Amino acid sequence: MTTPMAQQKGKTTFILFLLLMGLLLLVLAVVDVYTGTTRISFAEVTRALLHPGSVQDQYATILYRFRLPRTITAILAGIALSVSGLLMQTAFRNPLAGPYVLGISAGASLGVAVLVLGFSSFFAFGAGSLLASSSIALAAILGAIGVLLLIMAVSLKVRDIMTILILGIMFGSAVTAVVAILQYFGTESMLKVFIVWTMGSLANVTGIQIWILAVLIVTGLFLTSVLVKDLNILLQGEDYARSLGMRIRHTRMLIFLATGILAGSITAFCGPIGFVGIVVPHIVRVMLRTSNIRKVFPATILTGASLLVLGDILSHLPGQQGVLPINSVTAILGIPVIIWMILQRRKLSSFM
Amino acid sequence: MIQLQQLVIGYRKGRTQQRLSTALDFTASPGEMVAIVGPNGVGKSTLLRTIVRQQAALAGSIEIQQTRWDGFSQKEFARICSFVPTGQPPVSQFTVYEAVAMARYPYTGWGGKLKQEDGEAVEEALRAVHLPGMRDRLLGELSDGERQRTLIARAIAQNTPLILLDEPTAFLDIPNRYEVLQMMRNISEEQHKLFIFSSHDIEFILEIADKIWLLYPDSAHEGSPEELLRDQALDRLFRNTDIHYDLQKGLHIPLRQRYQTSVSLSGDAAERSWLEKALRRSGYPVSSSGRSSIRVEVKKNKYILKIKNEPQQDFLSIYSLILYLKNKLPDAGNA
Repeated sequence: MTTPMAQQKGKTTFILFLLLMGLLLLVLAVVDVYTGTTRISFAEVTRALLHPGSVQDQYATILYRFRLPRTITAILAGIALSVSGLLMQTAFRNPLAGPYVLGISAGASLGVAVLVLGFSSFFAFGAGSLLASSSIALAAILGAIGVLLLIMAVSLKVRDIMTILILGIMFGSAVTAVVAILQYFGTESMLKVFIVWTMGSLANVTGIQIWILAVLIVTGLFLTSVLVKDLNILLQGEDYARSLGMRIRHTRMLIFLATGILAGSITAFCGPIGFVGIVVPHIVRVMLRTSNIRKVFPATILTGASLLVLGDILSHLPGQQGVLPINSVTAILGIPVIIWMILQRRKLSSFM
Repeated sequence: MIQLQQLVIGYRKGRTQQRLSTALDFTASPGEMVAIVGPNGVGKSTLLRTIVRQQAALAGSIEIQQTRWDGFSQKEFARICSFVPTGQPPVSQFTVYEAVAMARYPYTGWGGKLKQEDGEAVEEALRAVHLPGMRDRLLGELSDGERQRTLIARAIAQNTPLILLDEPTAFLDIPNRYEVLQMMRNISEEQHKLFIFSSHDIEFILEIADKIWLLYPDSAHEGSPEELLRDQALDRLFRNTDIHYDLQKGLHIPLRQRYQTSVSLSGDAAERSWLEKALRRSGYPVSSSGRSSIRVEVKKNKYILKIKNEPQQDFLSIYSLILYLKNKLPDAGNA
């Protein structure tokens, strides 16, 4: 069988895109590590990276305890959020779906709110310690798992995917309402801890937590890669998928599980980070001119990682005091992209 | 190959059932084109969806290849029966080739990689619908006819003996309707596949289908188009209208006569019959006696109107002649 020219061309575009995006990610990651609120010279950073023992302890600490973990977290979070956005847009065949449509972030914030606002005496010892950040992550995971289990139970019963979407949004709103009540009764200082968590941060993941996060993300990505074949068929509509012999409920459960692991773990460790998950799959589809998940999935991984690392660089531009909340940075980066896309396309359905 | 046995279709809502049909006992064999015909809302789509198991039957059963259709596993069934739902597929940026290759889902492993036989099946399906040159076009860039052909290719690539289509000719213009149906007919003959499809294109169906499954809310009929016509079973399709099917003239739509004064025609026979048709549509009785007060002589490219006590007038087109007559003899002058 001969491979036609156009098919060859599509393949070349795809490989070129992956190479360029990979290169961009590398450059951004290097810039991210080399810049920060503390000024460390280029030479010092390079030396610290190559021969950790040869620089001041203070610099080594900054690099190995703060900058590298933060860059790695940004990469992991970018990947996880974009891929779960892709999963949700595909499962619901809705261009505006994102990692949080199932109410996962609402569940996570309920967990955190209960912990921070409900058991505030616990934090009297010092918010921000490793113990505190671990327990926040645990609470968030429990909250996210709770919502996820609820959604999965519902999706066993409910056949229509749109009903599931609406129920997910309803659960999310209900949970958010409970969080608001908890906030109302919380003390001022605890309220600040909670608000800071909702702003998102890539800086709180350190040591063993990075490994836990990495294992979770890899698991989620593996699940997604198994689902690629099914995801393409789902884009053609569930009736068609059924007629090809797909077990829709089974597939749906796996999609929700993968989304839960990816978005849930990132939310737990970094707080809710918006827009990346919605925007990245669209950027990829527009640039590659394809909806084929086989191509969109790997491209989304690289683009998502690049975008969040870029967000991280912008959140601590040199010369600034402190770090901007990552959630605001991604929103400011993401919203123009969404607006541009809406104005570019006539029909919402042509986004997919 | 397929046998509907006392099948009742409809919807279940809690404990109540809404039956859409009487008990259906239809059959069809390999290599046939079977059209499901019936008025809107009678359950043509429901019947198709019931056969492909996307909706439960209220009673009765279906046998496909001597096996009850609910006895197959989902995967087995995907190798027996393919389904092309109605309407436009969600516009997605897939190429024609990618879209057709999706039909190999039941045959590929979890990675979905196409083996050589899968590639060949896709190529063959593209050839069957005359689309091999379009393989790299995106679905969203196709015309409605090309898209429908892609969907049919996809059903063929699934390699099932039974292919069901819900309104494959909706949205298409007349040449495309004809082409799509003719294509299905060729494939059914060459590859010995059974096509079952719903459609409102009664004139095409009468020419092209081997069998019609005819649905009415209170009765059902099956048979070759000719039998159903002969037994006037199809006439109810045109209920509340005076349309009927004429063996010579095809669909006959009766016209209301609006004027008393008849128009008599003379001249070239072929040209005359066109004018006659136009006059009848406009409500004028037509005669050839020559005794009428309005006479038209048909010449080459010219119509000469002679009205009693008036100067004769020439018209260059049928349209302008009729327009003049209408103004000359307003409605009130009739009956």
